[in-house]
Amino acid sequence: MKRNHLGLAWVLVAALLVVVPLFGGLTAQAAEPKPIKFGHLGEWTGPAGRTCGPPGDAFIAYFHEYVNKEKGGIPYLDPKTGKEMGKVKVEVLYADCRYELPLFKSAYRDFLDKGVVLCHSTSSPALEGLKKDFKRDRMPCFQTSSNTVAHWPPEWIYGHRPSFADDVGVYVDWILENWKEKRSPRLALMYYDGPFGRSILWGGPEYAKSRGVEIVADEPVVPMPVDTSSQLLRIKQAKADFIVGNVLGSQGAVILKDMKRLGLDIPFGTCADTDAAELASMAGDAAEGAYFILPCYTLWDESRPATKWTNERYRQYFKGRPGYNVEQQPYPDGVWYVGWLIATIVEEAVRLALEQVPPAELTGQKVRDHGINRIKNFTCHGLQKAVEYKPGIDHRGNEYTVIHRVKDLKDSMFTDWRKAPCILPPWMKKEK
Amino acid sequence: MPLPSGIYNVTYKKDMAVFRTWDHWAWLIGLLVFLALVPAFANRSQLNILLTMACTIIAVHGLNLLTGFCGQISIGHSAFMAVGAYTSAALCNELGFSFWISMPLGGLAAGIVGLLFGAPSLRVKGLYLAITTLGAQFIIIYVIMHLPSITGGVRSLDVPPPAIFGFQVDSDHRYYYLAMTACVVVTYFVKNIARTGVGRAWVAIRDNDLAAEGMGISLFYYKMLAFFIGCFFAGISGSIYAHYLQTINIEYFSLMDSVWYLGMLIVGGLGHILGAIFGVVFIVLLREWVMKVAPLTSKTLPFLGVEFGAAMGLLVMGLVIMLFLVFEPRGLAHRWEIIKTKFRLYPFPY
Repeated sequence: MKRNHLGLAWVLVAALLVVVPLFGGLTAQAAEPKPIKFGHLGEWTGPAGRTCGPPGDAFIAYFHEYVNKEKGGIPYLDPKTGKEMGKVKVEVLYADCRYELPLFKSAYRDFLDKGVVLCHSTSSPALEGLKKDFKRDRMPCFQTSSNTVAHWPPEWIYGHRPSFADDVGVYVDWILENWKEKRSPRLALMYYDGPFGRSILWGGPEYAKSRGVEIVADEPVVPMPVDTSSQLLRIKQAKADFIVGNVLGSQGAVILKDMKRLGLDIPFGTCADTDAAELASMAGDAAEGAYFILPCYTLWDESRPATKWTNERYRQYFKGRPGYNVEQQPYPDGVWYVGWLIATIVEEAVRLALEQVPPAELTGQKVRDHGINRIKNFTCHGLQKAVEYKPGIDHRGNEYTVIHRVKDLKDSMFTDWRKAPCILPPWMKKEK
Repeated sequence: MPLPSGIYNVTYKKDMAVFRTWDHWAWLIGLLVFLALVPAFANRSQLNILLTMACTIIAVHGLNLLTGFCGQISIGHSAFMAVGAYTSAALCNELGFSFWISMPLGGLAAGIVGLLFGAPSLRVKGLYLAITTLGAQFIIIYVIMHLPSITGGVRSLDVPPPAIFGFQVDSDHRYYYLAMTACVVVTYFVKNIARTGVGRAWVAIRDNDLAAEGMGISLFYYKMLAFFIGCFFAGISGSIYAHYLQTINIEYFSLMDSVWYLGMLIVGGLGHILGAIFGVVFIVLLREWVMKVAPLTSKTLPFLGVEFGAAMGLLVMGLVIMLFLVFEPRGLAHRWEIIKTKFRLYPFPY
């Protein structure tokens, strides 16, 4: 009998030894809230993989490496006392949707099932195709693209810079400021032959005409061109003074090479789709002198603390990663930078929301009402002009941008920050 | 349909029936009950996959009639879907038609456009016909792009969700029943038409058109009929998918989609009704799997990044399809027949 009691005692002790740390662990885990989930509807392969992959990498790295590891998470407050209760980590769910709408739909629904409170996408088809879904599910989605159709009317999609149509306006205003001749300037448009590229047409040409600029050519470019001579020769024949292209870097490079081969010396500028590093890597010398729009300071100039902060993290997180050559180019591409920029805005929105809503109760609607709508004069840690949203009126976030130029095959800030005109597409004018 | 031994058809009616044994009926009822109960336990992601499969199966059935049965290659099937989708959307938006009228009219429009592009099949065949239908892909999309007053041009076009007696079919759960019912009805129709004189005429044309003509089969009539019905189903599929998405854009009907539909048919088994279903299920699941490979790879091996995993997923996908065609060139439907025969003959291996 005694032996039995002793055995039972041993079993109890052993059980306690196993169970106590287990419960201890559980209590410790319960103290830390579950991570907040974001969904990134990305593209690393497919026709836009080169342009849409890096912003996705930057967005993920910002939260997984910088916010979670360096900062320990996003602080959340007690809504009643306003005291900091702790930090909550972020988990970014992502999928490679390859520019295919069924995959975007599937990934988005998967994210919903897993409880995401906010989405981010780099893709025009996803943004246009899921616009109604975002509205139905009350899910805010930030766009790295500046798709005009996704922006207007402003519902649940948010941006961080002027739309592609606005970019045309930026070039028009700048051309007119520097125009010396008596006749009106002649502008040629070249664009990706699809919804993304053609989105400059939603108000862009009307704005140019209203400012007295003549549109003399309107030339679509196939998504994967090998030659654009015929378009360029028509533009030459039309005697254009400037070409504005809403094209991906891969298309811009072909255009620039063809321009060099044909001996065309018409200035060429792209909307916010590409940058010096991408153009120079693909077009080589032909990229020299090309203009492009990006809402940022010169990316390699680390005299600005914000740029230095970004570039240091870029080097730290992406050293040795396939597809990145940090040793050769120790600063990011413009497309990568844009993903990082968006991530700072998303963090700010969630930080503000967590001031008023506990992490476990956070939803898409609450992120919008308590976070996005409360963002005021947020400069993305000094990376760009102040971001602010006008709920239901304007969700572009920022009206300022910069014209850059490829100089010595590197990015150089050609103008200071310029206020872009707000160009409404035709259907918004009808609504008004 | 092969039957187990001991089953005799003593009447013509019994001989012609699709479902002839209690086993067949039990499987059918089991499948229908399963399909009806799926929304009760599936999450949104799974329902979306099933919905996509249902819509794609309808389109691939159409392609199967055209290519698998009649032997007329089409690489423009996605564009015919676009015709159905845009017609249906335009009729709802501009004329206020109900979905139940605009959907068949969308199919009809796609069928008529299919007739236009099918006409060259009387003079050309094989790869040459493939090029002709490839032209259809570009011409149709070009026309849609340049008719902005009706189609919205390159801008996405809003499509209203269907309604039944004022009841909006606007959620995945509700739409699942609509799409799956359409898929079952079309599958039943295709199964039947393949067994009729029309189906046999198509097979004769596919196997040897000169011999078929010699036997009195009108090549003009039957080829045109194949194009009409094949494209009609593409239009129906496009219309159903458009009302599900509630927004359409020319980028959703790309050349790559047309190639994929053909790929689905080849993987599933050309000229088999089940082939269309197997091919769609296999490729859709494979694509979903590949989409999820990148996050898994980058989580397991973070130093490789996401891009590497995404690219590897695509490579594996290509490899799977290549190996599949090498080892099972007659498609999954053929493998299914072998498995069924083995079970039927068990334990005798002959």
